[in-house]
Amino acid sequence: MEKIPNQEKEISRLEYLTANIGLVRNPDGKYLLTESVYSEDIQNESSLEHIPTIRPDGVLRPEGDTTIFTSAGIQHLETLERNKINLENEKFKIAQPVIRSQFMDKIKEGYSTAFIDEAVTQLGVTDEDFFSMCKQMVVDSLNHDADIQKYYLIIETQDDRWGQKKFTKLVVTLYYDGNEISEGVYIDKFPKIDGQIVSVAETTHSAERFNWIHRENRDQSYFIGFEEFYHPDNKDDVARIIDPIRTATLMLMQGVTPSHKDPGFRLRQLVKRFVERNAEASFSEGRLLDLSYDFWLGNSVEGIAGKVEVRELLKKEMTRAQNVHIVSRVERDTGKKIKVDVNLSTDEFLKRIYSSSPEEIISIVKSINLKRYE
Amino acid sequence: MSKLFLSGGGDIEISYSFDSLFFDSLPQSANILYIPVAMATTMARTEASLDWFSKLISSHSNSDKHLDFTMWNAGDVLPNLHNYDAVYVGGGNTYRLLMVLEKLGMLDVLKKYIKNGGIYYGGSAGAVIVGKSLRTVEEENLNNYSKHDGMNLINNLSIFPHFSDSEEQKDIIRKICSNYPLMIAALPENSGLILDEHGMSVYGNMYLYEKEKETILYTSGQIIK
Repeated sequence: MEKIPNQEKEISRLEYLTANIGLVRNPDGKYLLTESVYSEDIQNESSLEHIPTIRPDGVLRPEGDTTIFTSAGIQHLETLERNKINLENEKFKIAQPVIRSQFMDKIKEGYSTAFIDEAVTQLGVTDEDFFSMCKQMVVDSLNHDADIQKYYLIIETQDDRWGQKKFTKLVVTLYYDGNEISEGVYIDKFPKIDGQIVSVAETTHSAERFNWIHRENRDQSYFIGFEEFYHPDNKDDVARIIDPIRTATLMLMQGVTPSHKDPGFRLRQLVKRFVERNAEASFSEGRLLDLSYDFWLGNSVEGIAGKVEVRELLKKEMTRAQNVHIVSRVERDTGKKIKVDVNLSTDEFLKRIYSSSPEEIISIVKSINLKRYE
Repeated sequence: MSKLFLSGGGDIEISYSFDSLFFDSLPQSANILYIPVAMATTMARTEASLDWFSKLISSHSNSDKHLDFTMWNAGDVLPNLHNYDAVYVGGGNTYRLLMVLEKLGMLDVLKKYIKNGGIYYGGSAGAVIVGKSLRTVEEENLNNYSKHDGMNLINNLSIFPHFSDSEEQKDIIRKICSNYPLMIAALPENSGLILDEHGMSVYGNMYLYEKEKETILYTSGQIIK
């Protein structure tokens, strides 16, 4: 947004822009929808229909980008700049598979570490254009539930940094029934690699979360296609099992292989979590992999590695994760280290432990409920 | 007995050898709680913080060392630190770090964890908050917080990180010493302090400043009395 030194003027500019799209500021800071404005627009054709849809980026980003894995549709700007395209008036819609590892240990029903980020991005636009995009973002939700009382927006400025690029952005977050559902971002001075600046506006949401929050059947699970694993009373636990294998499958499909260095380390972390969380439930990893693979394939993810190859890699890594679990358990319980290669098959790993360890260790290993992934 | 690794800062390559002491002290299969609160604010920066720590972990992993970590941020549920083999508090804005930890109750959790024998790594800001005072980094107090007290777990020392032995930095430290009754441990990057059952020892160099006293240089292996 254009900087006006006088703070009062900046506030009035924001008031003008929000009023223009039918928002009223509550004393608690939330912006509510004006019925007269939003009742007219529901079911209208999207004002952003004309923007072309582009092919998503790979999930694994080239070295030097802001993050190791693509974490938002807007990161396509990095791809454009890498391809020497001068950011000026680009407009695109993208359904980008993304990975946000930061949620790896916070998963519950309604959240995931990988999802399809549906974003509309426009460059070289004004703050008024941005607020029009935000209005469309609200209308898209109203088309699923027209009850405007269920919605509110929060508007705030945030300092951000992408690698060496530092900028301030205006963030407009839409909530439905108290749940965050969509977000608009406006960067009035986005620094280009040539040292010039350009304005960037984006509206975005996770397709999975958007569909789940607006579900008509309240029993509908967050991970569509995985319903056979769900029970009404264990949704969070099931989500915690499905999520890591679903994201690991996405990584494997895109050619990531397990390693102690990234990107393979992130994959290793996910498989470890799957093995730990699935120890009791014992869901079929083969079935979960099939469903995950087919889901990503149906969402424009290129299968660099085929299903058979992905299955082999995954099973090998699960075996390794279980061996690491044994090492960890023995060290915790006895303070002793196991010096056996964790990359061996389960049977070979156990055989070597049994032939070289004292009874104290053997009895602990025998007490662990082990699976054969090979 | 707890074990504290307090680093003067620096990137992954610069602080590699000091960091190795920390990672070597962990079990063969270790789970670390990483706290990037001093740095992370937005979604992109949070993911980038995770990438950074992942890179750090990777550089210290090998076929016999199976490291894993969980990231804790503002807004997350307070963790049970018994589930972790160590806590790593990264650098950034020291005042922001202290205020967030205190506001969310994490500061008390950390103090208890350290007092009960936990392994703690503090990098730059993460090291400063373990000291007596934050006056050593007062230029970071952008929001005019009125509290300047750290956890004071290292024998009344206060940490001055990223010390380059420049005249400018020496003047800053002397000024702090003349204004406040502090003992300041100035730590260059890839230097640090280790506090364990043997006492507090130096890795690299440490310059001890105190009002009206000669500056004392401690070098690797020396115990601070």
